[in-house]
Amino acid sequence: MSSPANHVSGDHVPGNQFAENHDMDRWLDHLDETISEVFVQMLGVTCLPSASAAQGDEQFKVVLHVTGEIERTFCLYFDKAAAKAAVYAFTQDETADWEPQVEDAVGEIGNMVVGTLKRKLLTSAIPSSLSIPTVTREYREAPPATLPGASGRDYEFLDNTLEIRLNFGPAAATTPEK
Amino acid sequence: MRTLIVDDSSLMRKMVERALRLAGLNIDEVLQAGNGEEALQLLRAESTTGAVLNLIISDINMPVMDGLQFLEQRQKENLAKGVPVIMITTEGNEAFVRRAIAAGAMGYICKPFIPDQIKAKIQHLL
Repeated sequence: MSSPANHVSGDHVPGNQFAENHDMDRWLDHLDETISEVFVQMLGVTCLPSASAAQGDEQFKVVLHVTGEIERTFCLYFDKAAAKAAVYAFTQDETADWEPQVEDAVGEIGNMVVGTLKRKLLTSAIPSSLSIPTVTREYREAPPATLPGASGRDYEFLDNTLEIRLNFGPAAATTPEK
Repeated sequence: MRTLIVDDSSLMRKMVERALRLAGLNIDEVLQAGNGEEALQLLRAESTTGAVLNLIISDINMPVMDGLQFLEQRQKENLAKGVPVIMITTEGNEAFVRRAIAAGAMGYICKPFIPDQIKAKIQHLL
């Protein structure tokens, strides 16, 4: 499990390593503020950096791609309890069946987080577009941080863990776009 | 006020409706569509009934038909002419916004938002 501090793992970082790492830091520098805005304004809950480990083996993985002159892939991992809490925060109804709405909820959170980051960091001088989020339910196989070139952080909301990983370069190794 | 909300996320459609009501806007009826194509079908059906639509709020990034294509096609077919359209976007991409304005949008709101931002935008337009 990763710490909340920035970390870069793996041997391969495409392009100019200094520039890429510097750029990665810029994206990560805005992540805490962006996560906070999305969770407080849209869900009415706080979401803060955390060193807590995700619970359980089952998770929901949300993938979004920024494509164009800049290629970035974001993966958000909600463990099952976090995904359930996200649905309840969205619906404000803890009596409803959460599972039919879970992909919608975590996908929309991913969309808002990455879209907001993109708005803050990419001006119109850097043409780029944001994919529609894809959501998969999966069993945790390995810490996401071991992906080559990945960097990310962990967050906590309502006692649940959300992991966010940023990858550089083409998105072929991740879930395809819709 | 009769309002059409277009978004591929049903949770977001509910959240926008909740924000409209929390903002104190007088919402009589909310029509919903999951993408631009569904919204066009709804507007085509509405055009035969003579019912009055007061506001359209549409997401931009949607599968099947996105919000910009929806606006452009709506303009081509002359559907819901004169009804104010507000776009909702996470990106605030200038090129998208310019295209949306050219296709008849009167403003946009960035997600995440708070109900007062929606209220202010709608009061400014109506």
